Amino acid sequence: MSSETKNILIKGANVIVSSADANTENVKTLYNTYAKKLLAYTLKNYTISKDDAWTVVYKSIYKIAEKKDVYTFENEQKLRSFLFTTHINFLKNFFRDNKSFESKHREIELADEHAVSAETIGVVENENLKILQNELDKLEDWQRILLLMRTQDVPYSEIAKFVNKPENQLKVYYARLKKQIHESVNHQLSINKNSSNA
Amino acid sequence: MPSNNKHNVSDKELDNLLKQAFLNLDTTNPKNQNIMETVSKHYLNPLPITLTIKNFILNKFIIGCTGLAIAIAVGIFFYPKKNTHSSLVNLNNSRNTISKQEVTLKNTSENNEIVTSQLNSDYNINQEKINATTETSKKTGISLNEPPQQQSFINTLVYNEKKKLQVDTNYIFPKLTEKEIKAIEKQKIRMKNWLSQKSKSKYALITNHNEYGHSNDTLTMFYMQNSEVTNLDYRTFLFDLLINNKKAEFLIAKPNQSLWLNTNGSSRFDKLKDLYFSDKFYNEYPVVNISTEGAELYCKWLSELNNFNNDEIITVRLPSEKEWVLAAHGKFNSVYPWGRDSIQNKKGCYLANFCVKKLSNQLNPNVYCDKKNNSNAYTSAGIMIGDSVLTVLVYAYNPNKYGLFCMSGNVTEMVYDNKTKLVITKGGSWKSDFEHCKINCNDEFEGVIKPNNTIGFRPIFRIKTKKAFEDGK
Repeated sequence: MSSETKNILIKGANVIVSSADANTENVKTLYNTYAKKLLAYTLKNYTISKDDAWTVVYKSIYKIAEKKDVYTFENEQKLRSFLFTTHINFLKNFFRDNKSFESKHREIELADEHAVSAETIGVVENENLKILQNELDKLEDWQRILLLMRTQDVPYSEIAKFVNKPENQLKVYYARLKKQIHESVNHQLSINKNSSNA
Repeated sequence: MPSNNKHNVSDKELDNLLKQAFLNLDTTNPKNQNIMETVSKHYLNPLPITLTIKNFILNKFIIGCTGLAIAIAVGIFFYPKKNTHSSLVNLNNSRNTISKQEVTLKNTSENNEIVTSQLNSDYNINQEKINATTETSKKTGISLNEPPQQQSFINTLVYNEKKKLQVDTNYIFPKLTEKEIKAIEKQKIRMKNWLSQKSKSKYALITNHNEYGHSNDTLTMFYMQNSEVTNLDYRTFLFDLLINNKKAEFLIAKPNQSLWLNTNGSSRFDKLKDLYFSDKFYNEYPVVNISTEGAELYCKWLSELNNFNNDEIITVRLPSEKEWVLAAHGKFNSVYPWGRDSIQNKKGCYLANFCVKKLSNQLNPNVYCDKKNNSNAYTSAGIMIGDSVLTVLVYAYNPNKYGLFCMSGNVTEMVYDNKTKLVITKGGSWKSDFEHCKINCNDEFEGVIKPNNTIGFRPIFRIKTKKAFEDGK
């Protein structure tokens, strides 16, 4: 084992230890093939420190390594999909356990009169998310998929195959949808604020 | 207007919310499973063969060019020059005990300087070129136990007001290359940005809100560095002093690497004397062998890095014992920073870097680590990584709830005593038993703090607005 790998491993020592029973060969294969890609995806799309990202990646890899011999996958793509879904679930747990998605990264002024507690920010974000979820539920399936996939930077060519729409029109649809959602969310927020002030 | 009163979301916030919504997708729903499959295809698929080959060729080309450039540079560097000798000189920090070498000198009345091209931890200086312009050149075999004749420029420094600081006149200061100076400037800018932006990757915000209600006297919110100060950070500070010609402060602050010799009665770690502070492998390891004055100078230097054009004034210093304990507890009131009362988890694995040889009969058997070959290592990290490991990366092990790494173990940290305001240490080190790694354990050095290869530090800072500072608040 190279010194670099050892150094990385020591960072996630508790994670590794908790999965001590995982098949080492499976782990090595998965690590060599997918670890850096998962890390790149996590760091690109979510505000998370590199160490935390590695911890989540390790958890995902070890989970799959445990299951690899138990489940049978049709092909490599199915395994990748399973790994990715597991990783998403671990990320969800991570953000839930660390209170909120963004509140750690909000600037907090130090002057006491302007101090904002992390709990308050978390509450605000949960409300915003609920409003967004409601608005997303009002959309058609393909519209929702288009919006969510574009946030993950999936190219239009891939999305077009998925939603069965012409690729050259998807860009326009996306721009309009995003504007529409933005306005709906802000509109709903102002309604909520007015009703709470009333 | 505080951000939580806004009733509009921005574009960026909407993007984040959409990403959150993606995370919250119900993955048991077959429709959503197909979405996951498509997204995973995008991120986890191997590259197409043509792209792989192109990348492979490009990589090889870049490596080849780099290798050629290095070979040319090395060839120029080592090409024999007339009338010079290269010699390796070992310098002890405080004494002129240097092995005898014959050097060719050309004396000059104006500018005697020993030019070095390589920097090592105890300033092993590679003498390759000595510039001089005089009518007569001398060829002298010098006993290097005597001060070299080129020290006149240092002698003039000594007669400044700073001679009170006992500047070592025999010390030969290293000369930095342009490349090294650029690297230092770059790192300095990075550190300055971390500080002025209170970057989450470097600093953690510590509040005194926890269920046990620490008193609110002077412990309002402050920022603490999330790791011990690293060799890279400290080196940047030290050579910045040199660049700015603050040689007396340099001498006070520089670490005494000879303290690595004969560590634990063994010569195995002697190589750390030359490598630990200057080799890039140890960049992210905690700096050790420094004095308390050096740590305080570092804090002062870091404070001055802050851009005074902002409305904030940042004062960096060592933490008080109370502040350190508050930060270490991390919203719990447990014995160790990770919220448990044991230094081992349920499987017996160690949660910090400390000495496993001391009080070993009180430690639980380590089921996982017993499979490793390094079960006879001195430190807990040594069991996992290698027998000869003493300190580890400052970001090793999981952080506490505030995001602080290695509050227990690794290196023991300098803090100000609550009552006497003198410097003591907290947290235990790679050499301590697990009792001394507890948060509330007393200073194992009992107040006698000298440079030591187990003592590091971790600064904190508070912020005042410029107006408040000027108003004297």
